Amino acid sequence: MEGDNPPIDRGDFVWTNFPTREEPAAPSVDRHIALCLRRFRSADKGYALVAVYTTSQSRRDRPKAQGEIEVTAERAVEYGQRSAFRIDVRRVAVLPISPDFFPDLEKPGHGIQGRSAHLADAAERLLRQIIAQTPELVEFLGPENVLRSVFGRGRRRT
Amino acid sequence: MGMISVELPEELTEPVERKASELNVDVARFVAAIIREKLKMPVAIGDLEVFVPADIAEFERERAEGESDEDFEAAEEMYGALFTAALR
Repeated sequence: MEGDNPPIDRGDFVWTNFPTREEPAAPSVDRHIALCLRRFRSADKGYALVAVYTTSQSRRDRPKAQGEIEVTAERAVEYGQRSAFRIDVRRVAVLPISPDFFPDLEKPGHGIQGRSAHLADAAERLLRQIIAQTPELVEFLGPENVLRSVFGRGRRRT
Repeated sequence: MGMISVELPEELTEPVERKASELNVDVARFVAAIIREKLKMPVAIGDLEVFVPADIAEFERERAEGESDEDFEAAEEMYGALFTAALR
């Protein structure tokens, strides 16, 4: 893959070993489909993807939360999934593109189950909205110019 | 917020306060960030749970197909702020 673009990119629903809360820096042992939002490249460390979590567990008893995008069963088929699912943009990971985090990377199809640039756009917009509505994120952290331009406010002076 | 009182060794007091001041955070928040890092706990940023490798700053975002300069800059800033927050 050295020198070539990796096969996974923005908008792909792909099998991952999405990290867990217990081991946030390591690939989990469980496979999970994630939606890829953005690809990043390093001069000497290859590629990484920003991905958000998806869940197909039945949520009928729980209303959709802020930060979730619901995909109906009918639409889910278009993205290679068998049942309705939700995209949870509140759970974000940067995953190095390697077989550790993408267990089917070297297999035909690379573990990609479907693709939707539209949903990646929607997820990114929602992520931006949540960040903008979360002032505790921006009160202390980030370069001043970034805070002002993205969140419309500077850091809090103590 | 839980409340735990701890006594720090004398030599740590000034560096901790100075570093927290440099980052413009209060001491409790700075100490919490160190503990989170040591315990390998994910960073919760408001409603978000963020998993970011420590070397993310060495990566550059690729431009999406057909993305305007304005959108590229906006996304660049959003991810920059998100990653910066997640790593502290």
